Amino acid sequence: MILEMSNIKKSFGDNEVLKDISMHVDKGEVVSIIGPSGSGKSTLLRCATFLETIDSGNISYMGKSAVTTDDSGKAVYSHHKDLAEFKSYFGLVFQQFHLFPHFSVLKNIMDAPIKVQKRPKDEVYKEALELLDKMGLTGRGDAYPCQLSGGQQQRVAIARALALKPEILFFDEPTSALDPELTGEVLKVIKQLAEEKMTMVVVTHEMPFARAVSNRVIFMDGGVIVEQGDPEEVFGNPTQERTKLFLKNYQK
Amino acid sequence: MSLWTMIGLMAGGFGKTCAIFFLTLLFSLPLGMVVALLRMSKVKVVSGIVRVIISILRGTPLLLQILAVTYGPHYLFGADVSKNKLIPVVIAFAINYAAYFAEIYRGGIESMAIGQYEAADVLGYSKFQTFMHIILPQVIKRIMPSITNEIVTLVKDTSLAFAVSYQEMFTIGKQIANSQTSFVPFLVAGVFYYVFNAIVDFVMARVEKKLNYYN
Repeated sequence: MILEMSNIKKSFGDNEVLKDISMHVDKGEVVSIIGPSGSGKSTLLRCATFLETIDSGNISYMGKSAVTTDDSGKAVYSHHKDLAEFKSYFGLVFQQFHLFPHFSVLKNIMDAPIKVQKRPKDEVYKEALELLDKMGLTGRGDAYPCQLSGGQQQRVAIARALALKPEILFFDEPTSALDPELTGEVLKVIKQLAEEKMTMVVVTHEMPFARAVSNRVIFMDGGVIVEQGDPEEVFGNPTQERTKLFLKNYQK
Repeated sequence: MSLWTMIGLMAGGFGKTCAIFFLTLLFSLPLGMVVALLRMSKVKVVSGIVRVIISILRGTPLLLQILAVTYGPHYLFGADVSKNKLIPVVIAFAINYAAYFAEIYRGGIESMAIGQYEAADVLGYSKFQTFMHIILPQVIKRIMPSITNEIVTLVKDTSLAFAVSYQEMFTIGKQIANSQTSFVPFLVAGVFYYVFNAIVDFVMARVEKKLNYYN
């Protein structure tokens, strides 16, 4: 098991965003998380990637505990140094890309492997070129993010995350900031990664994509997992009323 | 006294004008960053104290601060202040300009989108790496026009050293103006500052252009 989250609780002030959520991701699995806005799906990803701290619950990567809960029910995070190791297990692709605008495309991809992982530059360079090819961005290495379209920027962001060789890759609504005609090129790349058995968790509003690519779909609403399972089951024959309503509204 | 004699005498003080200018930048630019980081400290006492200090430095005349730093030691400890006036003058300038630079840095740092920090965090950069490699280079580009503004002001402010009779260009000019009952030295000084700032403008425009390789 790559990721296991159990009994995750998270509140922003009085607003309980995650209400006792448990989920896990196995190696090679592609999990889509769908649900209405404010259902807590993005917060769940942000908790998994330590961008938000959970109030209570357990998070472990590769069978190793990153966050535990003490007797008083409060979440306890691993020591700073260990957390750095846990961070090396995952990558995150943001809705708004968050590329570094002052770095060229190549530097965006190469900088973290060199500076964070201390890997040799020529090796990283070779891999970066391969990643660019894979993302359909051959020859764009010297461009700056501002010179690229949104779809190209997001593919650079995916390459940047992959360059660190994560065990699992999270996507937080990777196509929501894109013009409709540009979503396809990004989804294609994610699909290709799925075929290569990259472990991924994708928060998305692209229902046909989620249905086609995922091994498992999680439907969240109001801070709980309402329903999850095989995409054909969840999309084709949802058991919960809330899921039916959500999917029906979505088809309109 | 001929015009050329005046210019010659005043040019003799130009080295000291430059000394104030460059030494002030040398000390205030980094000091401003330290002040900015303290100003943004999460420790309320620290940020509070720094805020008050900045407010005093920006809220009182630089002229007064130069007088205080130069003659203060004399009134407080009876220290001899007649010797090297460059040191107190540069201290006063550096502290005053650090306060302004600090606020410019803070504005630049706080204008950075949180996403840059989050992306760096997820990629595993340390806090220090994030600041030095990701945040600071972008901040510098953003604040360049404001920094240029301050540098242009500094060129003109060097003339305030006349208040403690530090023999820089303007002080000499003022002395000539008094002894010759002539306004010409002030016109000469005006041209000096204008040319100096034209050079500053030219250099800073090139720096800004160089930083313009991305949007």
